[in-house]
Amino acid sequence: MSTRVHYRVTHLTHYRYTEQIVRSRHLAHLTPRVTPWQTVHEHTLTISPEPLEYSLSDDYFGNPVARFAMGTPHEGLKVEATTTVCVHAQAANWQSPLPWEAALIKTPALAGVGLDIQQFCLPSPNVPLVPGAHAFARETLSTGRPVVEALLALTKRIKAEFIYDPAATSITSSVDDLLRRRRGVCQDFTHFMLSGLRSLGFAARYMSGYVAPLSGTEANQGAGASHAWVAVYVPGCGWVGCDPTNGKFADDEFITLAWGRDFTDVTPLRGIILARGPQTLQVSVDVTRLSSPSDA
Amino acid sequence: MQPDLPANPAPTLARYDELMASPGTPRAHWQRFHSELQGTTGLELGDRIGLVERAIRDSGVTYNVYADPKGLDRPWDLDVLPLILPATEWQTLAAGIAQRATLLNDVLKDLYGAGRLLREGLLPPALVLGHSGFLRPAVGTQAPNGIYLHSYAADLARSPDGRWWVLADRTQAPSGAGYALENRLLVARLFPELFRELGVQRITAYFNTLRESLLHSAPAGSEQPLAVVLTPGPYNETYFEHSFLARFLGFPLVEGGDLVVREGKVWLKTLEGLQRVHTILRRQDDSFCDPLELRADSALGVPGLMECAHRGTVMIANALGSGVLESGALLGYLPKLCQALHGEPLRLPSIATWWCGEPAAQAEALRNIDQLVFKTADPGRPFEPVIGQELSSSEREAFIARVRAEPERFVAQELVRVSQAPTLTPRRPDLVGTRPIGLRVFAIATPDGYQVMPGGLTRVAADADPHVVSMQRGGSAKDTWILAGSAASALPPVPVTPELPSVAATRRQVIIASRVVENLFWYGRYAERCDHLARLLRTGLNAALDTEANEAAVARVAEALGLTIGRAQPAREWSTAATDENRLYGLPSQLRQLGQVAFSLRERMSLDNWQAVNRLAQDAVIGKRVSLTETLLWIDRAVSGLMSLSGFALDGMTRDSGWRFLSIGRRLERLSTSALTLSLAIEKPGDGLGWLLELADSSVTYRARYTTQPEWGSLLELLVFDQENPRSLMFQMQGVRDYLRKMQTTLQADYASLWSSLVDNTMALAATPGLPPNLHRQLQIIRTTASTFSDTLTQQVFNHTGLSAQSLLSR
Repeated sequence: MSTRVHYRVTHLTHYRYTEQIVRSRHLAHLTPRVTPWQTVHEHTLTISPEPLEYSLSDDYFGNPVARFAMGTPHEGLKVEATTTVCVHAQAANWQSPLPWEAALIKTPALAGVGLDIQQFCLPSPNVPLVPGAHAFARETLSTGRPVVEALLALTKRIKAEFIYDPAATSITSSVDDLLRRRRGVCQDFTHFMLSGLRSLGFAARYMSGYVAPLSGTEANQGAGASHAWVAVYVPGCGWVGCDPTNGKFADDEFITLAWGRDFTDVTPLRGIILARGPQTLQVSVDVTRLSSPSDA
Repeated sequence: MQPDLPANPAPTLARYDELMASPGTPRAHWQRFHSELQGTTGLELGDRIGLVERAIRDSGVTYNVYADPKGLDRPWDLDVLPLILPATEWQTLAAGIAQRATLLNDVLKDLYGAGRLLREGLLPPALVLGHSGFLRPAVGTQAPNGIYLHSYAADLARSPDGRWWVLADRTQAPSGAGYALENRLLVARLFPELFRELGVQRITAYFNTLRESLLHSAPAGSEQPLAVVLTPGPYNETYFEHSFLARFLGFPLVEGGDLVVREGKVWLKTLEGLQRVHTILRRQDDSFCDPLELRADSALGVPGLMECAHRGTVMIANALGSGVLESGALLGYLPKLCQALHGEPLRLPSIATWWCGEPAAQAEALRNIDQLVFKTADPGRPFEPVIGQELSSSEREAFIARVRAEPERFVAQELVRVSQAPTLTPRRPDLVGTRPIGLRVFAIATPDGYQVMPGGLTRVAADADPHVVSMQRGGSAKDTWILAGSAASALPPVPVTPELPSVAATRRQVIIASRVVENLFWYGRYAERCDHLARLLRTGLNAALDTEANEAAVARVAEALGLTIGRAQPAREWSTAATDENRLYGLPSQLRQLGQVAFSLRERMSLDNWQAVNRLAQDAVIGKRVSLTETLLWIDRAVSGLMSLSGFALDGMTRDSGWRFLSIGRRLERLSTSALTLSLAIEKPGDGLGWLLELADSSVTYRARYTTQPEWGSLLELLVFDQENPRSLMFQMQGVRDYLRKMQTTLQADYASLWSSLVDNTMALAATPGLPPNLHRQLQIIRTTASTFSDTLTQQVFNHTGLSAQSLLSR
């Protein structure tokens, strides 16, 4: 039996509008998905003011997605997601004797893998195949290097060579932006790593969720906000989580919301409003480790 | 599954000639046309071409099918000689097109539904899942009646051996059918006898079928379905066609902002409130159709439309996601898909194509690089086509590396030597030339299967020897004549789908989007503004040429309207204001604005009305330095042209809310300028009154009524208080009041009482003889009311408050 960790997460998104908004529509990837390694004990999505329409369904990738529309005049929007989850440790199973080349989707041995895996080796809107990212990955993934070790080395190297700087990039920054500035946040590092891995032929997906603030006594980068990391498909291991922001495997310190090809598939909150002025946005994320589910 | 790898590219041969079977001998189906041409002199042809050119300019047919890199609108370039095809040949082609459309519809249905083709390997996953047109949010959508591909177009070309090939499938929002109809209307007029004698098949029935089938495909339970044409707006390069189609089909032309989603349904914003929309003929690319679920970088489109597609509450033609079929990569798989899905061979072959995402195909394509053209497999990630034989050896190395790095992006196609057809261009009307051509054909879904338009858009290459067969690099277009042929081989006439319930026959209230009503309002204002300006310029210029007239008084009015008339050479200055297109508030710039509003209302206007606007905005005098006499002639032309516009509005438009707002716009504008002019005149009562009467077009009325020289009392009676004179303030105010009364229920607000009291307060001054002391103040009130009321309408009635859709993203 693997070890389990319980968390309570509060994710608050608060828009303040400069005027009264009469109508708006939103789409939220804020409800955690249930996975073989993650049980969702409790989840509530509180929207205020009360939306006129609300529905919850699964998106193309199987992530829960909430759609809602406001129909009465309002000057702000608060969306609060609170979640209690239990995450099982899996890193102990991430062992493989294979060289990384044997994990590439095009190798004949993997001819039978499902579409749900195959589709993650293709470029996507925010993850074009960038030569700089390819070269970076290839430098670490020397010929024949064992796959899990090589992936961890790449993850660590991104942390080592790029600077975590929330002021450096925006929500729409590209892989090229990161390469030019050498600084960014989890979303940028994740897109960069995905670009390198997919150009080599790996199936790798964009993971959206949260990271626990502390790893033992050491602080994790990115805990005050929603987080992003990479999961790479490795035959025999399944999806190996790699967090280039913190330079380590993404294991039981990571709470999964959703996965997709890149940020555009799993943006935590999207919306369209009719407005004149600019809007202010405040997001806060609080992740608390619980000693047992009853603490929730 | 492996695609069918084509045989090695055939060695290039001479082109197939559409006209000539051998030197000196035209093909049988061309003989009649050929002898007619030979009997016609170059001069006659020149005249005919001139007629066509004028018709095109007058109707403002513009387009940009050939993707002008600068995105400039340019006039439709029509080659007057049609492409002629015999009935039997066409029958085969049409059957092939219909089969292909059916197949592609089934492919779409599977890709967004059951997913069998990918699961069973009938299509390679990367071809679909890596295509930016595969819209994941659309997976699981329900197209009403199973029609995903409602409108389909195929680009065809003929190889030297006389066979037709498909170069590309158009499945997103195919353009060109409207242009084909426009071509037909123009060319059939040029050769009326030949057209009749040859029994050329009509294409108008196709558009009737399109109309019926769009209404018929509306989701079940819609008794009086409302269909709309969705356009990205007047800045789109094929906007002309959008408005043309909307007008021909009788559907409202709407932009994304005109539609709103509520409770899983689509609604159109009208003055009367929200109207449910059942069918959308979409001329906007699907990735821009729902900024909430699709591209977030553009706020165009209708937030929530994808959700409606999932609920099946709206028929979208074509379905969101249909762009995924626009890939040359698919061509190689169609023969096997046709066997697998329909159990029959594909009738109409595609041009030899290698998708480099398939290793065997990639190897072969790179081996034959010199004979191939490489294109993008994903129009969402475009690049300029690369012609193998044009690459230097270093470029070739670099290009091969590019292909190997991301092979899925590349499709290689054979460089076909496409057929050539006779051309006749305006530059050399005496010389029949020859140019390579391609043919775009159109099909629409009906309950009886796909109907193919008996005709199409023939496109002519700009160069005599183009490498790229897509011919997106300039060139012109032709009408396409399908002959009736013998009775035995003739196609049955296109049925006007008798089995469809005749939805169209039921009379329904005309539905106008609020935005259109707003545009009509502004059209009214601009038309009146131009009219007033033209009269002002005429009065000013005449006064400048007449030493006894008070030119300075007229110049003061112009000044108050923002048009400064310099004192050194007033006559020249007035003339410049009438002709210089760069002059702010000058006549050309005002006419241009009128033309722009008219353009956005294109589908609401009769052709004659539109041509009248267009002729004014493009008059030959504009931008030239001409003599004063010519200027005066031009201003006369402008005044009478503008008069005819008000005639169109008066005589040619139904009295619906749109018309009423157009009239209100005119009246507010006239009130504002008349009140301004009168108050300026009152400020300098010594300036004389003759110019005032001329400006108000009331000199004749005045002379008929009063025998005296102009004096204030009678002048005010005529220009302010008279309830019968359309130039009087009272007439205008009462008109506005009456329109608003008529619309009280629609507007759910009493705007008329504001105008009633304005009428009463003004009328109260009529008792004072001579020049009432309070008149100046009252004129100011009228002016302010006219302008604030315009703002009120904009904010409260048109519901257009300067808001724009903003996309919010947060992590």
